[in-house]
Amino acid sequence: MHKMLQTLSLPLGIVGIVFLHLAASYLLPPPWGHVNAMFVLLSLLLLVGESGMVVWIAFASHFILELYATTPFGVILFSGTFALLAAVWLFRYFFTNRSWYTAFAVPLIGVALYRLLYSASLLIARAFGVPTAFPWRHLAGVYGWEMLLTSVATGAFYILLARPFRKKRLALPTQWMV
Amino acid sequence: MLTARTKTAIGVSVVVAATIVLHAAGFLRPVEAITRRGVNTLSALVYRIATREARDLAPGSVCMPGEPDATAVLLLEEENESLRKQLGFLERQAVRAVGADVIGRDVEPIGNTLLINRGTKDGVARGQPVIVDDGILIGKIARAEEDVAIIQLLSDGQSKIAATVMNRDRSIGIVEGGYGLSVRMNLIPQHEAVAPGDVVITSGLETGMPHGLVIGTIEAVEREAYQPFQRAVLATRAKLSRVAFVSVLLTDAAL
Repeated sequence: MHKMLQTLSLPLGIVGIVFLHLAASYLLPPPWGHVNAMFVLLSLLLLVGESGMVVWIAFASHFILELYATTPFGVILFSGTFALLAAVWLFRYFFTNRSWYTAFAVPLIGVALYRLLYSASLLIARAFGVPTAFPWRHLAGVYGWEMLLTSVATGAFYILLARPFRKKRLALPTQWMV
Repeated sequence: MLTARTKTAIGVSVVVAATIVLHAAGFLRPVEAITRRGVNTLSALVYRIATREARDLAPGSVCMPGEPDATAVLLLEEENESLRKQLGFLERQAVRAVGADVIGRDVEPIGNTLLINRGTKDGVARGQPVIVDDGILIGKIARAEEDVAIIQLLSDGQSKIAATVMNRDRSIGIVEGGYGLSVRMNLIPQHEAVAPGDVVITSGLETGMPHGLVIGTIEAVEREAYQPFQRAVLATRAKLSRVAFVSVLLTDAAL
């Protein structure tokens, strides 16, 4: 029973993450709507759960986002998954602890890497003849807001959650651990 | 000897690459269809709330017991008016069309798009024009799956529409997006007189795009000496942040 609940919680959790990402994007006025709610939630999951499982949750969430994008398939999936993988490594091997500055820095660097990979993928697709717009001035502004708001939101939520989760770790399914 | 991190990176790369290949081959269609059905419902719910807020309704409107909510009545009136205009336009033009609810919009910074709940099973295909109200063009279908489609709005960076200015010369040009919220008409011959206030419509010179769909009105004209073409900045007629219902004209289109 416990295992069944644990297994069901994963797909529902992934859909929940996508739902909150869409809700933040649609409901918040600009520039607040540029916050990457998916990265906020995944970063918090990483900080609280300390599990590499978050990479596969990112993979699934970004796969769902791909279904609604006009960019070539794979751009969002590749960028999102590898950015989270880098965030996990950063947390495990560089910051190595749960602290308020980790909560700010990990999503900041994670989103920067995500957008770097995203832009590089689009430019490569363009070089191969796939028609893709790249309004770099507009994108630079949006990326800046996204990095700032995502890191501030993650830090703020982490500080709120720090006390109840100080000595606890979120039990994430251990299959497919990274 | 490979380190654990290298093995992990290789493993993740293989899974991502396999997913992309399987998608391209079409093997993931059933999974994608099931996923879309679930997410579409959630997206539609949130989008409805977002467009309701975008209509600048006064918060906390007082409602007397037994009286209908004033906000809900206003929304219904607006939606009724929009639908009547669309129906009237379609009857006058005698074109085949399908109505659709807008259930979401783009969340990525690249692209200005809307998501609708009609797809290939309803006859929707890439390149077909999408209108609101009385034949006001808002964009084209960029991508169509079985039961959803993505509209590429006029303000999208990749949007290009062949257009005509309703001036004495009936100047032709290309309406392009990618300038933030505004759109521009490029490649207007320099010697032809265009002025702020002129209406711009589709020229009908593009496959699948009928003549006469209203795009917008010229706000400003940009001319440079010794250039063969001039440009115009347009204001679109439709308020793209508040679109709830659209009609897709089922033309034989190709992007």
